[in-house]
Amino acid sequence: MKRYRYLLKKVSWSAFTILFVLILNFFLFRVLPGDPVKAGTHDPRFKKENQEAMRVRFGLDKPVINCFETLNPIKVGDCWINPFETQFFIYIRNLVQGELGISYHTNGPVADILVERLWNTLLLIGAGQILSIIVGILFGLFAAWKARTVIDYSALITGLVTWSLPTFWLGIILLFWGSGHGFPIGGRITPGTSSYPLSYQIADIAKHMVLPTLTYTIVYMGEYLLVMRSSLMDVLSEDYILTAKAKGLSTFQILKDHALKNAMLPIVTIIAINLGFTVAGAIQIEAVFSWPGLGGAVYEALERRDYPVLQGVFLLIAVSVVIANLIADLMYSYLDPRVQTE
Amino acid sequence: MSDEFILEVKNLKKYFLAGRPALFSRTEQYVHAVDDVDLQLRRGEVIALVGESGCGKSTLALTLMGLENATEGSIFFEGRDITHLTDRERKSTRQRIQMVFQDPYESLNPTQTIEEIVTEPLVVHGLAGDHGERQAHVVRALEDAGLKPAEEYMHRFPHQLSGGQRQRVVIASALVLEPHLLLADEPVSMLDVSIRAEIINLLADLRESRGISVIFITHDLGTVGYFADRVAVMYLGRIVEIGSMREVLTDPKHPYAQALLSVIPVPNPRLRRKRMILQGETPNPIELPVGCRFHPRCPVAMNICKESDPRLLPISETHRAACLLLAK
Repeated sequence: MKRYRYLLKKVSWSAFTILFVLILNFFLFRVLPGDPVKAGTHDPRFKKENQEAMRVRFGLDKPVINCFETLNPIKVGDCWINPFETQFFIYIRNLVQGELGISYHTNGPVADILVERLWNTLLLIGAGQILSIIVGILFGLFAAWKARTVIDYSALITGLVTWSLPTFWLGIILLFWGSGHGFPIGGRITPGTSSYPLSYQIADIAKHMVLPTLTYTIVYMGEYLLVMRSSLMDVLSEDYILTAKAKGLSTFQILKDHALKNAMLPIVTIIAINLGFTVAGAIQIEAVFSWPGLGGAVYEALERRDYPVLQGVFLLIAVSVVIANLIADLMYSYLDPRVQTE
Repeated sequence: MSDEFILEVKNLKKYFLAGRPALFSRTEQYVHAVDDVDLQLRRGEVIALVGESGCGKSTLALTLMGLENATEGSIFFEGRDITHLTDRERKSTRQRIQMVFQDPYESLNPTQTIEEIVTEPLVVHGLAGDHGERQAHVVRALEDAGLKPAEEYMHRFPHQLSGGQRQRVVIASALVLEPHLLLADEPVSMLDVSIRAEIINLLADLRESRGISVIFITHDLGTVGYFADRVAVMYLGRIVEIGSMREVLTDPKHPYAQALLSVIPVPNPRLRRKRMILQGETPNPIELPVGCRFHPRCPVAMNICKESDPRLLPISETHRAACLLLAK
């Protein structure tokens, strides 16, 4: 019973958060200075009439919301407008119908852009994330086990150094190194190979992924390593570990049955937070390796004031962060029995 | 090795490396946590180990448990030298020596149920083959430890129990292995005063019903009187007075034991006693004082105390104390 109430509470909070993000999302980009119509095309031949036509086409001529003409600069307008004719209402109505809108720039549906970019990001950052989790946790575990030995200190120093490396710097260094060893220097596929057999294409993508994934793994591994090490060392100094030893458990049994489950709690939190942001992509890595992911999409859309794309991406990021946190909370209630009864 | 003693400790020393006095100094400094301790324990006997914080009583317990390696000396348990054993060799000994730690809030794994906690030792030692038999052992250990009916507690987690109940779980998980010797390291100091007597009564009952020998470590001489046969007073890693409970509590010979005893609260408010408040701090266990290690704080120190380090001197057949006053 308590478990279900805990679950219900967490799920309803998540839903509430997403609702809040939906509303915030709309205003967040509209208070930015800049005109979406002019921002996309820096061409002096772009005529006034065409600009007006574009405004009408995307509904940008309508007031943003009642009593506000436009939010940029914030200028109070007429309060007597039909509320169903405002941009905000249209935005909400579209969302309810599962419609994310049309990109101002490509004139294509935002959903299509997002889906394509999302897969690219998940492929790259997901692989990097999984690798860094596995490598980081294993090294951290080993370091804590061999605490205060040469192994431990070398792991500690490695973790600190890799965690503090600037991502773009490491990316460029690896790019230099990789280009001399036959790795492609950017992009996701070799241009002009789309008609090749599938096995060739998969190998091609894998080849393109090596350097950016390596960069991601090295940079993020340090965090997991350090947290795992200190968390496990904390747990290993607890009295119940000493008790377990006194009961006759072997070192391996103590690690497996007592230490790991307790030491995983902080790691679960970090993984959840990082997984949420994984969806946002790593803008630096995507930029260095010209990887067509979501991070790049945000950057481009921001430059062009492409509100529908921005709204879509941010909604996606928010939802994934909220869901990742929800999963972390549920994991917690599984890992730590104290959580449910709070 | 006589069969009379379950535990014999000879010249036991445990030093911890504390580093060097200066960065490039060649000499290494050691903390003298346990410094030359002799102790003999009979079957079914309860001995109380008393001393202030940092006097080495917990280190002594950990060394006896094999959780710390002895620097010097030897430990014989049931006739077998257990001073330096590998984990594998020690396993059978672990079953027979069990320990109750000070803080029941720290010594239970928060992610295990009470049943899992008490069952685990049985599984580790391969005792009680099938599930039913194991469960019977667990129920008996829990009920012996005063958690009745056991079924009500078995599926709970430690955080759902009170401090006293937790300590009973700790005791149950030690009892389930049917040990011959129980080391209790300040088992009541973290508990409410009202619970303390219950836990001590429990230990006293167990000693009666199961014939377990107990080393009861405490910094509070007041709780000793309840059930100890003998009392050993420790100061800076060494036993300075040892004797039967009556001898030490009514007629302490060592000035340190006298001081400890004089500050026990007496239930009678009209009874005024002279309290002996020791001056100064406990000396640093890295650089021990020359001569008697108690002399810097001793109210009756003599000149000779600064030079000569007294050994335990017999007062009666069972009572011994390490004070130069007795040598005269």
